[in-house]
Amino acid sequence: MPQFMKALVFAFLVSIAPANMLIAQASSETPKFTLILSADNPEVTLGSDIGIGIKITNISEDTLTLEFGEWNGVASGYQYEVRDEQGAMAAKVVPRHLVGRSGRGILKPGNSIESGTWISAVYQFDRPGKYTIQVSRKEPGMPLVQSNIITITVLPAPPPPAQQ
Amino acid sequence: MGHSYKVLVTGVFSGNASSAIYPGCDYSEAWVINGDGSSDPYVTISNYGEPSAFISSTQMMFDVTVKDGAPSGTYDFSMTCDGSCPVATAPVQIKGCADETITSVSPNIWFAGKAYKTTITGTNFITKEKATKLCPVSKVDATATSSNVSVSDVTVVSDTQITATIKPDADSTVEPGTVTVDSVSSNTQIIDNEIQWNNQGNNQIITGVYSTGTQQVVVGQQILLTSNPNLPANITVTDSTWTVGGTRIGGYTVNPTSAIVKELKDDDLKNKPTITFYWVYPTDSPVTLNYCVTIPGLSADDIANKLNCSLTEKATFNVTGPGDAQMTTDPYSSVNIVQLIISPCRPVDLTYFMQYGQTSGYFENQCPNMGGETGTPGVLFTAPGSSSPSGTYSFVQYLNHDSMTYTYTAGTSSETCSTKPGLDGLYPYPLYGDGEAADAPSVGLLPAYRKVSRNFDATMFLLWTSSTPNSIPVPVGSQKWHFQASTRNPSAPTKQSWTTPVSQFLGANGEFVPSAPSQTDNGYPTWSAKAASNCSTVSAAEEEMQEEE
Repeated sequence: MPQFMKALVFAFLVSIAPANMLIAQASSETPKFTLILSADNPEVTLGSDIGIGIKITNISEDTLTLEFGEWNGVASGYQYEVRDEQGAMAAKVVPRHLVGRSGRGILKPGNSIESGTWISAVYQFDRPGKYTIQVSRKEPGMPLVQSNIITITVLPAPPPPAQQ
Repeated sequence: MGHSYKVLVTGVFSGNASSAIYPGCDYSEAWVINGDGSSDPYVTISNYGEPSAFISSTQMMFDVTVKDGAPSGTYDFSMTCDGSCPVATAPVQIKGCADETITSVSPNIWFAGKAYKTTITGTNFITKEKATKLCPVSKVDATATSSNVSVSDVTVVSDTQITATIKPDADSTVEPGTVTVDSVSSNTQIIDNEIQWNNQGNNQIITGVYSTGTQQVVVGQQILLTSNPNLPANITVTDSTWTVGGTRIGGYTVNPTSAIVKELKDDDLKNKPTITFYWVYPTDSPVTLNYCVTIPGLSADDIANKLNCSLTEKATFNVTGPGDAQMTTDPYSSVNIVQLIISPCRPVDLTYFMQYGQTSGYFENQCPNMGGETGTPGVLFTAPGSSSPSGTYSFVQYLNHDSMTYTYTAGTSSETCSTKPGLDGLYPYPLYGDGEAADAPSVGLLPAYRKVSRNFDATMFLLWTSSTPNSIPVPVGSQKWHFQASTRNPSAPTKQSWTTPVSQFLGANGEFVPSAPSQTDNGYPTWSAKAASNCSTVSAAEEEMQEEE
């Protein structure tokens, strides 16, 4: 990996640490938000961009101030976990550049914001098969909140058209 | 009504100027008696016992009235003495009209407000030619408990057929009716047209016909209308058509991947007992409903004249909205090189960014409780503080164009990353503060870059959602904004000493554009994908050419 990318990659990947690394930090407090994960398309061909939606809903009576940044098409503030059919963590993508925005936003009681994330910008879906995805979010003073788990099937790429 | 006769009775009578009685009686009465001994209800004798009846000791003249409809037959004319049984009788014959019967009425289902040429079939109807004083031409009437029904153009065609034009008033209610020919009748049915709407605001169904008065609703409110013809069980709707005025849609389906305005098409308004839709812009908007049923007995001409179809029911809605709401835009004056601290949250871990705006500090999610970012974003949008009617504002940002060019040290290639237009990541766009949205687009800078340039163009939409339950957002307006900037790093590829960015076209791109029905998708922001970046490498030779340009 080129030296110049190391800092960039490090910064980018911190936000996508596996969710289970943070379980030990979970507090007994009542969650103030929920996470619902959905797939843009549950079946994709190898090499396609893979999109997911993360819907965060404030279920508390408080207005929450949360990070709603987005870098390289990936919503920040969430931890992502992608596993292949064998349960192994998928390899991470090394981003070449970092473009986006950081910034906090407020989420009023009962309101939701859905973040579109190109999960294929975070993890490599480099082999056909089924991949499970889960996201989680940990906010100071709140327990870890995990999403539902979704499955995305990566189909083999179609063969190139025959030469005439 | 009936027929009155002077009836001369011959016998032996006592009488004088003050009384007319049977001999030997203190008083006498006269009756027409049925075979069972009861008095005939169709016949009344009005002057028995009165001196006017007495002519002589052998003659009396009674005033006799025979009611219409009295059956034919032979009866006894009887006189009684002092309330006793008859003391003298004589046979009399009543020559009444033949009993009429109705076997059918066609059509016997009538829409309120429509005139039907109705055929009544039966027996013993009395035509004009056969009518007598005692048995006049058959009369037709049509009645209902709560509705006025008019009958006109009655023609007794024959003793088995009558035609008449029958029309229930337009404001008739759904109820049984009756057709009567003289004293016989047949049942019919009046049907009507009704629009009901589910007042989502109060979560209750208000029943009633909304042809009068105006309902107050707001833009984006879910309107659920139901056809309620309240038809008898044997009558079914064959087809129905709604019309909905104003700018209306079937829905707005939105998530980061796609935002689609569902049109309210003709097919959505035909043969649907219930329709659901939303008005997008304030205006007085009518809704109409017309439906047809199968009515036996209608001719082809009747059907061509829509006698099998209801009158058009019309409901009027007054649609209100937040008015001429405007979004203000506060652009920052420059693009800057900023430092944002990322994990592990020590000041030594600095990352440079070229940012529209000037924020610095810590990434909040990675460095919690360390103060977060401070400073000013590149652009701040502010919605109106409140709205009437009650509702909330939200933001949606669409990326029209976003391209970055990374130029590496001389002799290597450069890279251009272009963004396919689409939603800018989130729906809705997060609130920076109450009624505010902000953006500070940033590009990470690395020592290897010799030059980074960016060309950014986006549109921020303002939407408004009524507080009424089940409402959808409606567009209020939009503001395009943009910036172009570039910065150089003379110390590449090992160090970073970024020059102050050269920028242009900062901030608002034109005026705030209020939404309008004439705009694409009625002014709604729509997309079919999230914005996605794609990079391509440019050769060194091409780069040199571009540099020269």
